[in-house]
Amino acid sequence: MHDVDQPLCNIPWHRLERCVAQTPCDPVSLDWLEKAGVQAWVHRADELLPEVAGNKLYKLFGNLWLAKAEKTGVVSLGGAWSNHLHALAQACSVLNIPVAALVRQWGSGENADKTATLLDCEKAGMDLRSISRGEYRELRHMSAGDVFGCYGFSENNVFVPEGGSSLAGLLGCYHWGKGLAGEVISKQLEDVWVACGTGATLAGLMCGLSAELKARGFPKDQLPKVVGVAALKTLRDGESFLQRDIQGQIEKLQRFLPTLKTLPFVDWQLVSDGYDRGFGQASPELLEFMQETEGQLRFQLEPVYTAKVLFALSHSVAQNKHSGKRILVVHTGGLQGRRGWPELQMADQVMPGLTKAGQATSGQNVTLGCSANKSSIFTELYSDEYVDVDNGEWT
Amino acid sequence: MEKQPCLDIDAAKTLAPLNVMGQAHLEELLMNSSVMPLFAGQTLFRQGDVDHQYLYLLYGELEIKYPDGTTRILEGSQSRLPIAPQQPRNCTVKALGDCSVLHIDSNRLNKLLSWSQIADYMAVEMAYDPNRDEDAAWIDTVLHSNLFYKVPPTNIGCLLSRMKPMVVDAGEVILRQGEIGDGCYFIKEGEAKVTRAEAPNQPSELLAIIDHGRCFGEDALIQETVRNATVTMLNAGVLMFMDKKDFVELLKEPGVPGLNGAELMGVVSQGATLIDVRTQDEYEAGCLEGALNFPLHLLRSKQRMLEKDIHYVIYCDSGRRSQAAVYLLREQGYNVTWLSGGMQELSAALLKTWFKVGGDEQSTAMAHSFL
Repeated sequence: MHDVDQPLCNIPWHRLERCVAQTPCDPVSLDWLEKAGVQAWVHRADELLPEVAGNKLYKLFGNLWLAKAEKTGVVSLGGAWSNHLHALAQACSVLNIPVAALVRQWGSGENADKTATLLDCEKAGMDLRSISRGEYRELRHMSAGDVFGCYGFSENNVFVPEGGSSLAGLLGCYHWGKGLAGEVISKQLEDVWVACGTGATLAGLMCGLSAELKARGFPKDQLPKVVGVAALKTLRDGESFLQRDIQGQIEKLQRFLPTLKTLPFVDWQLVSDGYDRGFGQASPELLEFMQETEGQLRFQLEPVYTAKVLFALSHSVAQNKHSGKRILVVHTGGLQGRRGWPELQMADQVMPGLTKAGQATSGQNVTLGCSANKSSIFTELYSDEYVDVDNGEWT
Repeated sequence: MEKQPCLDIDAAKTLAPLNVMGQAHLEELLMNSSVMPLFAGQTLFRQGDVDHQYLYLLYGELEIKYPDGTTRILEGSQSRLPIAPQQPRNCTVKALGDCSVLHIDSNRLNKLLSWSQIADYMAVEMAYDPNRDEDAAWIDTVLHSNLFYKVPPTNIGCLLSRMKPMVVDAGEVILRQGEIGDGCYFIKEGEAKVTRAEAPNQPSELLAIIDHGRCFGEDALIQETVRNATVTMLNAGVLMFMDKKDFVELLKEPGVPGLNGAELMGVVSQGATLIDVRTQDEYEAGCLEGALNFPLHLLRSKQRMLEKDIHYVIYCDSGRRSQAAVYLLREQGYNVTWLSGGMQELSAALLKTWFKVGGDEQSTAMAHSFL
């Protein structure tokens, strides 16, 4: 028998808020922003921990904490260039969590399934199983139990759905949003721009910001607006399914955190970069814009998410909508995925001195490949010490 | 930080025993509780844990695993009672799907529940006694004021008897802005005006006119502070005064000794009658063999059925409600004792022989947690 002051279900979520506070926030000077009198910053979630970068740090936290506490393994799925699988493999290798992934088949012949992303995952000790595209489509609609049964995994594993977008992932993003409230207040931000794949990041950020700003007594009439930039084609049968998905995620959070129902919510809206394409695709215009922009920045972008945000912002700014505004752009990471773009490899070579993205560590290493200082951020995040668990967490 | 209830009051009213609590007490309880998400695979608690919490499944599906290997599934939609409340926990509970769980500190719940039920008891008591009509308003204020939530419910009788009546005249200044506070007042009869001056030489401004049932000067009870306004009687009346020293005294838990499990068995075998003062919902889910159900809030109207020459042993889940009942019944001259620590502290062996499980499925799930 042991007395627990904190119930076991208490995951120390607030540690994520500390990560947000440690994340650099770089002022950006881009000619088109300056011309329009817009002041902008980039929240460098890509920079905090390059190996478990951007939203993945937040999305994976709950599930990995659980796997570590229960001493079980993790099973997940993703594509051959998946940022999610890449981050998951690196994190599990550091935390010593056995991890397997079902991967959507890529390429054929000798090069089949040999993307840089998957090679990194393998090196980090991830057990990869290639799944045909048809099979993978079905996988997306299966329950955790069915996936385990179908592919011979133990029932005790923790299942992380595609992109990490489960309730645990949503809650991680919620705490990311709570942490960002500090930036909103100190920088008097009017807009927060972020990329949307599944909408979990946006829904979480929006709810977290709303809750924390309310808790800190932030004036209702000065609440910022969250602008989501669609990373994929958003119209299907004439209806924006992403819009509906985001609304669904918000409602899901409200069901689990009933106090959210009575909040004055920060406004949110969804915009497209005007060049609607499928997920993981980019127009030549976008790639050109991205390379031009990177030339003026001290950091890298990637074409699936964050470059699209800046591209959409540039269109919006060009329409004179934001004169005099203070805007935060959230960098959601995913730089390792640049390696899937042959055009960008070239650009990397002619831009020396930039942070090289996604260089994986070996499976034997017990620290992340980044500097000692950064890897301690990660180990502290998952430390067993319960001393700092805050009981007022959800109130 | 501005507090708000963690859950909609109407949603909370579907849960037992929260459903019998008055609005004010329930709201206070929900202000200090939390709803936490639990995602699939997470453990809520393990066998052997002592967490002093009442947990209610609001949404989702949980798996309850008992040491003998049996398991049970609990669904949020049909779950009205706390999840396996026995301390230390006698089973391990894990989320099968994503769940939402209401966490309430068990001590706070029992305190506020007792307060709420004693308030109901007193209301009935007042109704029986036509001479106390004029006391009804201020006593109601006392019983529903969050000032006193920290006072152990058993002391409620003392609380009322420590209030000193003061006959006051029209124009009498009861407290003056800037003076150090020594206690608080409830208006039994009469009206008073509350005024405040911005600075010592400024004319004072009328803030409010208050009348019977209202309380003033209460800040003095909880902090060392000067009066922030002046209160002057507009007409003659009667005030009830609570001295700060008395209030501090009342915050201490009274030491009414109770029985332990073995002693309980002894007195029952000698003919004592068991009374369960929990709510009907809790009682019906499972109770000690042979116990009668006299829910605390109905005790005043049901106590005619008790006899003065019988020895009664009162119990509840934690001991708090029964202790309050003992105080109230002894005042009326009944021969009563209580089970110290309540059912939660009875040994597993004792529960096995004495605990009678209720009829329906939900009750069985709940009762299982006691066995």
